[in-house]
Amino acid sequence: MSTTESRTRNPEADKAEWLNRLSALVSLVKGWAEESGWRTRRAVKPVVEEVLGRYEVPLLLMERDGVEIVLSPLARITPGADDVVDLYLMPAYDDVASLFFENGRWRVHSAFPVDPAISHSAREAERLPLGEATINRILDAAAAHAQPL
Amino acid sequence: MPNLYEVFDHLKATCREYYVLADAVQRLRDAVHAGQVAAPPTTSLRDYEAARRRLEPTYIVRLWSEFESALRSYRRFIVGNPIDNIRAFDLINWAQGIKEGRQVDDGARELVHEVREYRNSLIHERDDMAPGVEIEEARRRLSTYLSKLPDQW
Repeated sequence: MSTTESRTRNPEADKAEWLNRLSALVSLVKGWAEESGWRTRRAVKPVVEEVLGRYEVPLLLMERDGVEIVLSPLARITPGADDVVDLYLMPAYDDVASLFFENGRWRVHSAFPVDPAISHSAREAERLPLGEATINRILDAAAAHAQPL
Repeated sequence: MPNLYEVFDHLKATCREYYVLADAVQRLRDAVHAGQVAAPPTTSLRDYEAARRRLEPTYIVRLWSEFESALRSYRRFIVGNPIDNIRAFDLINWAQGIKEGRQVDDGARELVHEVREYRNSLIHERDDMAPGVEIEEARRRLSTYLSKLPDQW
């Protein structure tokens, strides 16, 4: 049975589990970002999913030296994928990275080269384990591409 | 309660939907051209070319609709008039003064007007077409301008 199929059996329990996981993720990333000098604030946004209905998810906004990045959950249930949370560069809401929950842990796919030694094609397939060093490298790479607000 | 990040997501989703359909149309056109699949009755390769050409303009119109709806919603919230009928041109200029969210460069307004002009020329099929704006660039300009708004209203 696929992960998606098992999730649809009890939507309310499923949603609660997803929101708990998001809350933990936001706290984790918030702590790491603040350690590296990013100012953070929390916000919320509504999402609508066919099985789970309309509900609110937490957002994390991070700002340093006029560069702002937002951690924004997309969906709990997506065809062919696990939970998805995106990082976007403000104000244009450009892609920075996507976080996927796979086999019990978060992994990150960055839109920016976090390691110049890795080719673009290799990076396309690369999903790094989520950790403080990875997040900071991604935030720094995005900041280097950004125009300050 | 309208939410800025939900609007951003809708703009992104509109672009992603366009990318999927553009890819699908191109692959189907190639498959028909190669004789791998048959075109639907009464259609030909020419219709696939037309579909491919008109797809992005269709999604530019949808993108604009999401943007204008959000801006009108915020204006209704501010002025308290549910039947406010301000023109899109004036709505954008009115929004220039909003300072509830992020600071946005003054030049952002003109970039949004360029998208509006292009969208209008698509809708009204004018002879003097406004310069085109690619969908991703249009999304970036509209999202940037909207970032003046507060998180929720």
